[in-house]
Amino acid sequence: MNSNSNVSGKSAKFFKVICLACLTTSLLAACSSAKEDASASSAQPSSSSAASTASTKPLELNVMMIQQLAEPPKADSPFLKAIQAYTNTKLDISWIPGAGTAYDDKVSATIASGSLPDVILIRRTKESPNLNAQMSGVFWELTPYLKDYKNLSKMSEIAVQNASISGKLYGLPRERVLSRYGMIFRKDWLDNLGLQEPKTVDDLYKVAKAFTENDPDKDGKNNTFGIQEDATMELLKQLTVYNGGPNGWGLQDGKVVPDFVTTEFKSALDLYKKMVSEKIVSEDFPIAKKYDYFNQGKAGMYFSVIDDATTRHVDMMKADPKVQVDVAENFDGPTGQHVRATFGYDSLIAIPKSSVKDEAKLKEILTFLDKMGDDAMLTLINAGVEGVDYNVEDGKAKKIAGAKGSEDWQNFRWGSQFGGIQIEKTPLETKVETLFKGNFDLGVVDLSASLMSETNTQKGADLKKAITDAETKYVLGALDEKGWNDAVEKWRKGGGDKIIEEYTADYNKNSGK
Amino acid sequence: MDMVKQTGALQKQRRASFWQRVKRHRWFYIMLLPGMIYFFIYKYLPMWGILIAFQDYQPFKGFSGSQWVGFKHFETFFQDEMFWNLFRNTFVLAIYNIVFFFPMPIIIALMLNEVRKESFKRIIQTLIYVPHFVSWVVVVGISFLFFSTENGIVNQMLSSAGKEPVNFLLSAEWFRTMITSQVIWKETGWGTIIFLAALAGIDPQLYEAARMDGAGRWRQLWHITVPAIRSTIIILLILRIGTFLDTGFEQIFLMVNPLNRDVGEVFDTYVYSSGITQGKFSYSTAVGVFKSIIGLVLVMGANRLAKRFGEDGIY
Repeated sequence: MNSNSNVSGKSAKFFKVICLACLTTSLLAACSSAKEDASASSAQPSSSSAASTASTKPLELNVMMIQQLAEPPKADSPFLKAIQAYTNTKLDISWIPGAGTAYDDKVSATIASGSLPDVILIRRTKESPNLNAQMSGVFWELTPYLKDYKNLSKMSEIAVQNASISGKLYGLPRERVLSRYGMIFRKDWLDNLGLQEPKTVDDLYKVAKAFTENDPDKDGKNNTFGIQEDATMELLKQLTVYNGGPNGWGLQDGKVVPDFVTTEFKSALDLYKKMVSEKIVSEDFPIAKKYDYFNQGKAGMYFSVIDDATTRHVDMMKADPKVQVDVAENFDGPTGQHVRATFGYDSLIAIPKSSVKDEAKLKEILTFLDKMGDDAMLTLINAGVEGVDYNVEDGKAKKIAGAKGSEDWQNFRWGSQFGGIQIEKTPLETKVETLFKGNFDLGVVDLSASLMSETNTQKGADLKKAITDAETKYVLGALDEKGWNDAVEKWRKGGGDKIIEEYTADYNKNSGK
Repeated sequence: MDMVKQTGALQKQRRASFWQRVKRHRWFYIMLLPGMIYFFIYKYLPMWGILIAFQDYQPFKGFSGSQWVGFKHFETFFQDEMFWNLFRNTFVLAIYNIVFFFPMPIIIALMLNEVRKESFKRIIQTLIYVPHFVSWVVVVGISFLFFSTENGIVNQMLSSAGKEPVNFLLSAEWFRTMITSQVIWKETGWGTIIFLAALAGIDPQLYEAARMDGAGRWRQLWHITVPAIRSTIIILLILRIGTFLDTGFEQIFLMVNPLNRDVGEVFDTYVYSSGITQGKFSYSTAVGVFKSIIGLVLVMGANRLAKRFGEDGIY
């Protein structure tokens, strides 16, 4: 009896010890892996700064970069090798997925944690978290250094102007095409109906209506509609610009005002409402996914950056060779032609002060970034690797079918997308490029891009959300005329008037009045 | 003097017996340790973070460098016109949840309990667990497929029945119904687990005795089954009330759009949109703290109430 209980006691004890061992090892494993992570991230900046003192040694850099495709570039990517060899660097890149606000959340968290990489891409540079970071000195101010570099000194002026905060630049703006927005439409539908490419807003409405009602795909069913829209309501923004109104914020009667207080906007909004009520725009657009209805052959046009036409419908055109996609940017309005423009840049490549402690290192990094603007690097990023992505025949660069190109490496490009070797383009690509270049002067830029307003920084986003909600409700008929006016009035009272005042003051100051 | 000595000795003895007890059960305590460390590191340490609700927290200045502002953020929040809207939305959704969702697993568990064929019961049980493992993104995606006005199945059925299509996803009236039905679809099966476990623990002799006394199915259900799982129901209800205001961020965030934001914005989504996306860390922390305080008050209230009605409560 006694010995029996002793045995069971022992085995119970043994069991306990086993359990314990398992638990502790798993716990230790968790601890140690966390530790490794922390030490790795903290150790690397210091070691890289030590290594970089010798100029012949490659410059070691930690880079935080956005990843837009499903998978990050591989560590043995030929692009990485080419960049490292050309710029004499050793890059340790953290690719952070960029879906939704994931990248921006990660940047916020990284800035908050204080352990920053040597080079970081920051997006939405004029919205509070990143704006605060720039103004409170997290990053080096680059303005005084740029003139010393071959390529950096020749950066796009509009990009620099719009990316600056009170005339100071806290990162390299990545240059983007200015007059980039327009209409993308089904040329074959247009031909089926015997219609002409729309030249005015009125034409546009008529074509969209015909796409909705006259069976443009000739399948005998009433299953199409005119315009694919999504929650961003791009059509509304472009209609406003075609009417001669501002793109976001513009100058009117000596004041910097938002689009939605202008008459040009109101007529665009009413046209939009009419289109929704006539089913030209599907009434579920606030939850629709961009491109989906167009790619499914349900919608005949949509509004976006027109280079989308060359990249977003490849599968659709492959599945149905009859499909022809075309683009247009020029619409005659009461004050001539206008094109909704971008800010001329996208995101900043910034250099944090906490990881790059001295000017010497800063200059080395700038040298690296300057080299990224050389023709050789622009060729690499814009055209790819010779022999893999393109071949040169008789002095002409031809794309190799199925080549993937630079994929996410293009995020390293701050220079022009037309730099470097020119690849032979499809007719559509050529047309897009011609429009980009030819319409440069027609671009309407959002004036607020280069202006500062304390009130806007604090609550501009909340105020704006109420307005976009009201826009959506108004066009869907959930809000009447009075409701819309109330929403605008509420915006004004809630701080909008103050934003107008502050932007106007800043504008007058900048333009030297 | 003697007394003091005596009590001192008693205390010493008690202390000794405490340590003795610890020593005797040391393996259990050591096994408990990882759990305690987990709670300390991940639940108690971060609680210091709520202090930033009383600061003007700037990430680059850090915790020590940021300015203390007292209750400023709470005041701004209470005066914000969004406040009552958020409060109402959160409460209404929570009440919907308790009224419509909470009884569901109980009903299903009772029904399963009455199923005679064991294999059939098992199959059903397994099948209704499945939706729990489907993520909210997918659930919302499925809802979009079913309920959109652009070839959603439900609307196609409505129109073939000669009725006007209903814009389920883009209207304020349908929002709460949609949210609550999604929760019911996804979590009811999973919720039955605990109740089924409680039901399995009922002594079969009770049923036998009841049958001897001539009790039918309904009588047995009412006088044996329900009282037997009553304390489980109460405990789960109290726990549920503790997370009363956790309306679930993901689901609502995915379902909200301009047309239903007036009824859809709740504390959780507001914390995200005003905190993370706009960098107002202190303000959103204040909102979160406020929410937690309400949760605490509700739990304590519910617990007291349960005790008053002669139940055990959770502490």
